[in-house]
Amino acid sequence: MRRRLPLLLALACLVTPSCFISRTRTNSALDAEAYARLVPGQSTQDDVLAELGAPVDVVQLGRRSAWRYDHTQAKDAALFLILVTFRNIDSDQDRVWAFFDEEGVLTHVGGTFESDEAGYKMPWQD
Amino acid sequence: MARRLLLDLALAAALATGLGSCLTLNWSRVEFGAPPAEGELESLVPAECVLEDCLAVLGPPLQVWEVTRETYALAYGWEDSPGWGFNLSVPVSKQFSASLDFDDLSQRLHGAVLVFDREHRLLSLRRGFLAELLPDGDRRRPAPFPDPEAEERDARKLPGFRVGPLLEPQAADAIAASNSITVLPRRERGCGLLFPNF
Repeated sequence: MRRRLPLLLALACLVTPSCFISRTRTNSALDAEAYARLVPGQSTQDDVLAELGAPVDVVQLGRRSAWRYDHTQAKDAALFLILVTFRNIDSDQDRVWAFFDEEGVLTHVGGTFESDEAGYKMPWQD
Repeated sequence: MARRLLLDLALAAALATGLGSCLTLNWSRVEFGAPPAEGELESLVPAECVLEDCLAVLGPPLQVWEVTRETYALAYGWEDSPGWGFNLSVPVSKQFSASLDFDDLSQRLHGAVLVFDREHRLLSLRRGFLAELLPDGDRRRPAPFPDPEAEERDARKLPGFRVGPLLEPQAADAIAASNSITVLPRRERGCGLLFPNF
């Protein structure tokens, strides 16, 4: 056992420092309750601004417009074993698109809130 | 015997660590969003469905842009691609090395592009690799506002030019010919300025 100890220590030194996890978040998380208060046909651009704040992007569609809100959370986990690397990047978003007519009244809105579902894992894990 | 085994192991470890600096095998998996459930895309039938249906089935898109004055498009994308790859780096001089990366997952985003008319009716739906649906990676610039007076003024300058409604190209062709979206820079902090429509 004593003879193998240096070898085991050497292997441990090679393997243990070779992993990392990281998390990247872009923009602030979106408020699902504020999103639920938006009513197509009634809410205006002012209402959407008051509920969700300034959009990340404004797209002009002729005289109409669409606003985008998003928040991204990406979790990255990797393990390096000398010649072999295992890595998984799980990226999920909260995202809302609000469509307005020429008068600035909300006509359509769609949202998803999945950023909390991002997780650290290895490629073979679901 | 044990000494020989130890030497072999040490040699293998040294070789592996040396090779590790120029050759690595990767098992990488990139997950982004979730693909639509089976049959969901097929349930969206052009000329029958409207924007509201599409938002209900697919949720909010990744990007929206104006294709022509009368049409706009929504892009959806998702990815779940476990796969092996390898990186090989070959030193070619003292200062530089040539790297080959066969594991570029960023180009493999699957997706769909849906085109709508002014009445929010679905005109077309194309699916495939998003990089192919959005060929040049540049963001679509909005079409100019219609200005009948300017068109008539220009028509007077050009003999034989007929003033009338523009023939809209097929939506799918318009997408292929148009600029597409770009990945916007991350916004860490900032503010938005909003202006009323003119």
